[in-house]
Amino acid sequence: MDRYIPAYLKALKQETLRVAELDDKESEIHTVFLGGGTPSLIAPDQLRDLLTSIRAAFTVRTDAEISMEVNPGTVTREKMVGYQQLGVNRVSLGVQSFRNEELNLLGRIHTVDGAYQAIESIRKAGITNINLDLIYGLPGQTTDDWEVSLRSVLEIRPEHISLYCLTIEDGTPLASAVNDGEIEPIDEDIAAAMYEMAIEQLASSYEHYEISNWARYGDGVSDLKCRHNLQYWQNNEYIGLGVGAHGYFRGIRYENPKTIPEYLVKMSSPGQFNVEGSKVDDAEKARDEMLLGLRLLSKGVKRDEFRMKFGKDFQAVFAGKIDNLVRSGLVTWTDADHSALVLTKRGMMLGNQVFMEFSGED
Amino acid sequence: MSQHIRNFCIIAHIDHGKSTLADRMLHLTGTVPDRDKTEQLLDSMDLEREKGVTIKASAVRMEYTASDGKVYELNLIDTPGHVDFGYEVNRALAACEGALLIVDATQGIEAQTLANLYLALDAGLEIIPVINKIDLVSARPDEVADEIASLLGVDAKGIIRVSAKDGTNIDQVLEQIVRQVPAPTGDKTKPLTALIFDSHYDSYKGVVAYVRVVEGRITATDTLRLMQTRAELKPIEVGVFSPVMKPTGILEAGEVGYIATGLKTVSECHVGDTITTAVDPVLEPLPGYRKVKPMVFAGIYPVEGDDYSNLKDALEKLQLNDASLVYEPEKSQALNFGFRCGFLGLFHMEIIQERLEREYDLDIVVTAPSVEFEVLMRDGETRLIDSPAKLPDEGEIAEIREPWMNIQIITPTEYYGTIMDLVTKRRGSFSSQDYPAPKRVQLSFQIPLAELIVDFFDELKSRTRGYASLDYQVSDYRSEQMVKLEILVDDSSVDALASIVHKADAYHKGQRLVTKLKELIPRQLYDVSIQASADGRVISSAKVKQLRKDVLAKCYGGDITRKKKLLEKQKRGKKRMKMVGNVEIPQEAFMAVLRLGDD
Repeated sequence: MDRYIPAYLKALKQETLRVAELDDKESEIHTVFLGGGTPSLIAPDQLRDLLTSIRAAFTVRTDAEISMEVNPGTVTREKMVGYQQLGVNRVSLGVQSFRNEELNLLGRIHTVDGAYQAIESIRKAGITNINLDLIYGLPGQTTDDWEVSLRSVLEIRPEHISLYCLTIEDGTPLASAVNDGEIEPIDEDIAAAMYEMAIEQLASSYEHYEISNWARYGDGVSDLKCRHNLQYWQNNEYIGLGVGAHGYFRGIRYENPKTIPEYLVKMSSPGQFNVEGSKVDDAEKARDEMLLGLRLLSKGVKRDEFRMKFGKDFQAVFAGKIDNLVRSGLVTWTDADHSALVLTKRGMMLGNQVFMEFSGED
Repeated sequence: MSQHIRNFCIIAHIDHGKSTLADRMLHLTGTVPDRDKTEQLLDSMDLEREKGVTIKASAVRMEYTASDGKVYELNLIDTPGHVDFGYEVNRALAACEGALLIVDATQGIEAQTLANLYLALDAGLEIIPVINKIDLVSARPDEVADEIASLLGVDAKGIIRVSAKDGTNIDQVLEQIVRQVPAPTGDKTKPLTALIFDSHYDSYKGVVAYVRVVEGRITATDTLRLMQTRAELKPIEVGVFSPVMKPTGILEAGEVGYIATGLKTVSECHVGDTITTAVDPVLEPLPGYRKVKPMVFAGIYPVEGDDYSNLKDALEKLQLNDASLVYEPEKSQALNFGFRCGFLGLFHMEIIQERLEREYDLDIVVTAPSVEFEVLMRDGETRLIDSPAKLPDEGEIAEIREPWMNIQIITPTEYYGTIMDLVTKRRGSFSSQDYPAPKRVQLSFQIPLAELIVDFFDELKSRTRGYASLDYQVSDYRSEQMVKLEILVDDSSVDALASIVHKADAYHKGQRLVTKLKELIPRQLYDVSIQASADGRVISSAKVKQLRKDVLAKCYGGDITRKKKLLEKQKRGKKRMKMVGNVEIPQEAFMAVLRLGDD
């Protein structure tokens, strides 16, 4: 893998320049997210090159949020200092669990001790905005087990927390173990209890602002929500760069080649470069607005914002759907003026029952 | 004149090699050149080939030069190979003078073969036993020969042993047909009597009737009369199958061929009907005619209401070739508009279901099968009830009579116990036993048809590892303590889930049905209660707890498209379910009663 890094970074620079050329609006970039796979494998010098080309190609705001996804097993203090000096100001750490047994089941290379060391190194490097990722709903996990991880994370007091319920994806070793009956997936009621437990325990110090995301209540100066991810949920455009990256740019949702060789070929081929993918038409865009926006628990989808974007009222666009969802207790209006639509507590637990209504044509 | 004609059929169990043997004979007589060989000519429908059975009978004329130097006209009349088609077999036999009895050298005689053999003997046919598959390593032709010899009272040594697969001794079969099967009798100068033993629909020629001329002659210019339906017709064409339709303009006494009738539906052209001429009619029809009567009934509904008219068209088309399929519109509270369909048996029902799904690409819900009950009302009226939903109120009923069957099961003796157990659990009673061969027993029972149509055959196969074979005939209607078992979902009765069961079984069946439905009905936004009730009493109840958590944890820039696809898939799954009141019920639930198993 390592031998690909130089060629890959070169191609990535190429892509950055070419995409920027397409951007006739000369957008101002306010977040950069280095993620997918293990970006912390690259050395700070290599990252410098990349960020330099991004800054050269686009206007990156000086107060931009620059996040990096980091695997605890790859952290060293020196590396983190290096990243910080390049402008990385937020780290998302894939801790997953504070129980070694669970890390083992998940096939992670790090240990609980390793996670603590990584957090310390990141903080000592001067990166003050840390997110910890945790997974619950593991086969065989009990609510007591889950509480161990929750307590640990509360003690650490990271700026941001993401909690994900394990989904068993087709084609993974876990899926085949489940199919062979070796592993029993967790009961829906237990997973629900774990989620509810987290909501309750985090409530005093964290704002539960998205289905799986919590931001520490700020000091009044800074908002600790992930700006980058808000971009997705608010159905705004973003540029995806690199192998397997997805983007939503100039009205098109696109996906880059999935393997490095294919990616290298595409980026080195001369001629007209264009973003290829599927054009999102207005109807789909409006549906996306709902199914993404409703993930934001207190903001939801605002009537006036929807009207600004689409020139229509959402109740007209979605005819009886919204009323039905309100009636079934899954969504509710924030006020008597019906100025915004949000998920109810029940709707948050059963989000798919709502999102489904806004996915695909009827 | 008809001295050179031999009319014969083949009696064989499924997979004993009837079609392969027929193919060999067609090639050997040059009826079909090898290069035109499409595998197994007699089975024209894919589905038949897959199930290894022949659904529609066919008739093929072959010319064969025998060892005596003379040319013979051999008419092979194919018979359907499944237990549901007993009457059609019976009529095909009536068109013949002889029958080949094919027995698999590795399996021996099976129940259905035996049943058809008795039919053939009753019809006075000359039987030529043939042992097939002698090429197989597991063949035990001597044992099977002894079995046949003791059954037919013939010399075991004289039985022809063949391999249809590699062609061994097929010439001997043809030779024995010429020698042993009597030439048809009949006088071509007499008034016309001809037997319809099958039919199919041709989009150009209308209904094509397969006929055996018994007396007299048919010419293309005659006005013909069908004695049962009283229809009169001018044939469009008269000819023989060789093996495709070949016009000859005439069919004489003893011959087998076809009449293109120009009729629009096969229901106007009944199997077993007698054809005569309008100018010189006979007075008495041929014996043995019976109007085909469906035995098993089920509702067929489109999953999407929009498909109703497509379903109607498909049933119409299927009926063109299948007079035994009957249907009428039905409305269910749970499933909306659909059809109540009648079938000859469960196997026939499965074929229709598969054809609707596969050939007509329809998404359908089929409700649990029911039999037809005779319900004697207090006011003296008798009603025929083929659907649980139509059962009158208990207070108005004086008596319910249900159809009982005679069944024969042939099995290796080691499965004696498990079969007894199966039949007893299904309210059946033992009648007699017989040992047609060492280590093989034929068991006869009486059993209600309702017990037979709910996965009896699958259960029999699984208990005997596929070794047992089954045949059945209608016995009588008996007064039984039957009750309506209702299923209530969220306190309202779901008509499509109701069944009529014996009072003694109601409790047990109700419990198991509720348990099964609890597994099949997914959790929804609200708690769903499921209850079984009979005789106005709740027998069993369960609750499907409301959904507690159903939400995609992750939805970021990298996977929005994929997550949307997942949601669309979930939405499609939801749409495929049937909304009954506020409850979404998956299609499988309507067949749940078929999958309760025998515990």
